[in-house]
This record gives sequence, structure tokens and C-alpha cells, in this order.
Amino acid sequence: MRRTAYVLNAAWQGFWRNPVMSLASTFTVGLMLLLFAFMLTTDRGLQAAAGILESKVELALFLDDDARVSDILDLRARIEADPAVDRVDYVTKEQAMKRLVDIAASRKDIQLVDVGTNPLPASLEIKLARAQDAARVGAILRSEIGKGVVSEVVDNPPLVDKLLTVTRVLSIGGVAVLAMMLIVTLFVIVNTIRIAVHARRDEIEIMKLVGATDWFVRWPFVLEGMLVGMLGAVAALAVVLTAAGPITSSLVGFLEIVPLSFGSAFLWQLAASVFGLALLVGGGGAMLSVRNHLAK
Amino acid sequence: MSWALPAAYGSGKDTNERRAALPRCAQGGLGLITLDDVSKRFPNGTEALRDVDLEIASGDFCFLVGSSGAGKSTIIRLLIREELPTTGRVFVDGQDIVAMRHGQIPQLRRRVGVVFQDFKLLPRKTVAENISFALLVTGRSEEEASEETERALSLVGLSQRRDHFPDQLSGGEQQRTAIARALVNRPSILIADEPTGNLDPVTSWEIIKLLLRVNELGTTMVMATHNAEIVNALRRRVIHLDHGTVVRDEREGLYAA
Repeated sequence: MRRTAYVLNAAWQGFWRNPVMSLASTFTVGLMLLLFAFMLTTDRGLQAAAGILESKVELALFLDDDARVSDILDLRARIEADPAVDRVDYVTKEQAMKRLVDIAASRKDIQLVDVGTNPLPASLEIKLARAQDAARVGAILRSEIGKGVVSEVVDNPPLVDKLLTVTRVLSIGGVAVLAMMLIVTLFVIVNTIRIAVHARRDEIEIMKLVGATDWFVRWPFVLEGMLVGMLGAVAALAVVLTAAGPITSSLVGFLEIVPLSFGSAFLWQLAASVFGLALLVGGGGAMLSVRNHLAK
Repeated sequence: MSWALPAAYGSGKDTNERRAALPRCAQGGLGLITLDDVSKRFPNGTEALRDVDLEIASGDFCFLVGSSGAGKSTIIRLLIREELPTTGRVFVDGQDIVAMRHGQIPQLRRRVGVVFQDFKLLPRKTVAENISFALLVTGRSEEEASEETERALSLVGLSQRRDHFPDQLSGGEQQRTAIARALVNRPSILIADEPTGNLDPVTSWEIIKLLLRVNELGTTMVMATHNAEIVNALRRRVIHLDHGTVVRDEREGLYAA
């Protein structure tokens, strides 16, 4: 009991012994965590958006009207053999026409004129397992054009490409920036705690001399580091919760995707990750600062 | 000055608990110090100790003498495991402290009290707080700490000064505070590294009388000193070091041969 009180008291005193430095490192931790939270959120949002779009990704092969059914089935079997392909649907001329009629019936801005004949081609609709393979599979299929079966290949939904690029850039760039921020934060915390350690170096020397354990010496500093981390985490989460709404809507507008809202499960996950990283960086930085004093 | 002691001092419950906590083989060896063929060479090439064999019996009072750099401080630092020997073994309380795990060092230091020439008191703590600090940071309860602190204060004769800060004390009082702090964990060995180095002759004698009293209560005393007058007056065991080797070891020795 007394031990806990001593450690907590020492940590609290350590924090306020040098308020400017403590608040500066709290601010740095907060910034780093804010970036971390932003990354987690956008990454999760984009992943979800990409996931929804990916499930819709299709390549369509328009077929020559006079292609033989056996050739079409043969081609379909070959396409299905590709591991990147999830499913291939054969849509006949009649099914295509019926679809068009259905769409027209549900929309006021389109009216269908009865032309008597069916101008629509039969098609193979290909659902891919992974959106990234769209370009490769499209190229293979395009080589089939002019061989009597395939007349046209429709592929490469530009939105998916855009989204995938954004996700990739954000995650690579984000990880790089986050890594740098992490190093800077660690550096600031190590120095803040080092000042606290320096202020109490005589006390530490005597503690070790009379037989205090390493952890007894270390705890106040580790807790002080964690306190810095926690305060930074609270600040970062406050900013995230306030700004999440506006940022999400502007992001949605920019990417022209369906708005996605995050469930409370994700918010808890986010809070846990931010606090986890805060404690790790704060406590870890403190451990690094005390290490030299515990060598003997 | 009164040296009246609480009857329980040095034979209390804790001492028995501490004995019980030691390895069985070590129980007969409380206070015993053995250096077995110890050499210490520092990375810069300095040879601080060379082939030192030494045994200090439980309850002994001995002086380490020799010029500066002869190896006195190195022996002291080996005994509290601030340094490891380059070769050889060191036993304290019958325990091999060279082979000891890092995590056991705190336990060793609770059994070996140390006082220094410069006292090493915390300036922002009172006399009583400086003493109880040694108990609180080793995990003792507040009640236990204040009880033990009072006992130590009366042992060193500082009960009246308990709420003074170190800079309000004379050098002798500061050293007595440091001795109380070193004793409060009831060590089996007390090491004093030139404890009278900063004190005038009269005060030095007061400190020596206190250390003799502590020794009479059963604590093994090892004292490094340059004070020839004290060594010659007491006629205790003298271990003379020169350039890292023991050149003289006499039962009732003098400062110089």
C-alpha cells in the first residue's frame, strides 16, 4: 500500500517538477497519437470501401452474335481456371434485354423504344476474387478479341483503381510518417524522463545502496512516462472524436464513395489501440532513460 | 553522550526471519566475508587488486589501510557488488556473490550497510526521513519503518535531532545519521569508507565509539581509513593493502608496520 503510494506520488511529482518539459512531451505524444488514430480510421474506412467495391468488380466480355456455344463454354471454362477469378456468369442476349427493360422500368429518366430486334450482345460476366488482378485478367481476355468469340472487353473500373492507389499511398506514407513520429516522440519522452531521473539521481543512488529493487527504482519513472502517454492519448482521442464527422464526410465527397459510418466496436478498438501505443511509448521511453542508472 | 540501547536491537524478530530466509549452508556464515584469490583489472589496464585472499570472521572489527589507490575502495565495491572481480570469488554471509543473479543484489545490499566519507544524505529529507527512506524503498510498511527508525535514532543518539535537515547538523551528526540509515535494515556487515575523513579529531572519536558499539552488538565492521591515530589506539585487525595486494594482515595491528 505504502509502496504504491510512494511510487504514484513520485511519478506525479516528477511530472510537475518540470511542467514545461512534461507538457511539451505530452503534446508531442498527442500529435503522434493523433496521426496514428487518423491512419487507423482512414485505413479502416478505405479498406471497407474497397471491400465493398471489390465485391462488385466485374469484367464483361461481349460475345460475337455468331459465336458457337461450344466455343463460348470452352472460353468460360478457361477463364474459370484462373485463380484470380471468383465466378463467371453467362448472360444471354435475352437475359441482357430483360435486364435493360427492368432498369428502364425502375427509372423515370430512361424510356425504352421498342426496336423489334435485340441489339444487345450476349456476355460473360466475370467476378474477380481480388480487385488488384483486374488489369492482368483484362489483358489476357483482350487477346481473345477477333478470334471469333469475343468482340469487346469492358474492364478496369476507374474508381477501384483510384481507391486502391489512395489506400496504398496512405498506408505506405502513413507508416513512414508514423515511424518518424514514433522516433521523435520516443526521443522527447526519453529526454523528459532523463531530466526527472537526473533530478533524483542522489535518491536513486541511495535507493540502490540500501537494497531497493530495480523495479522499485524504475516504477515512478515508468509511471511518469505512462502518465505523459495517457494525457497525450486523451487529447488525441478528443480531437479525433470531434473531427471524425467532418473529416469523414469530406473524404467521402472526395472519393465519391458510399458514406460509411464506424460502429462503436471500431471506436473501442481505436481507443484501445491509441491508449496501448501511448502506454508502450511512454513506459518504454522511461525504461530507456532509467536503464543507465540501473546498470550496476 | 548516552549509548543506551533498546534491548531488542540486533536480536529482533526480523533478524531471525532474515536468518531463516538465507540458504541453509549460509546460516552459520552471517557476517562472514571471504575473498578467494580475487583479482580486479579495469578496462583501462589498471590492476586494482591482485590475488587477494582474505577472510574476515563474523563479528570481526578490521581496518583496511593503505595509500590512495591501494585497492581499499575496490574491495568495498566488490562486497556490495558494485564491481565484479576479474577472477576469483567473493563470499558474503557464506553466499557466492560473484555467481549471484542480478536480481539478488538488493537482498545482498540489505545485509551489507555502507557509510561514506561524504555521508550521502538527501538534503531535502529530515534526519528521520533519511533513515526511514532505507526501509520504505525496500518495501517495509510505514509503521514498521517509523518504529525501526526510532530505534536507530536512539542507537546513534540523534532522537532530539530527528526533524532537522542535514544542513542543520554538524558533520558528526550527519555521519551518525548515515550510520543509522546503514543499520536500519539490520545488516550483518557494516562497511565504512573513511567515515572520519571529513571530521575533526573529537568528532571522529565519537563516530569510532559508535562503530565499536555497533560491532559489539554483533555486526561485522570493515573500515577503510587513513586515520593512523585511531588505528593505533584501537589495536584491532589491520589489513594493509599496497598496489592491489595484501602486504600485511595483523590481529592487533598498527597503522604502519
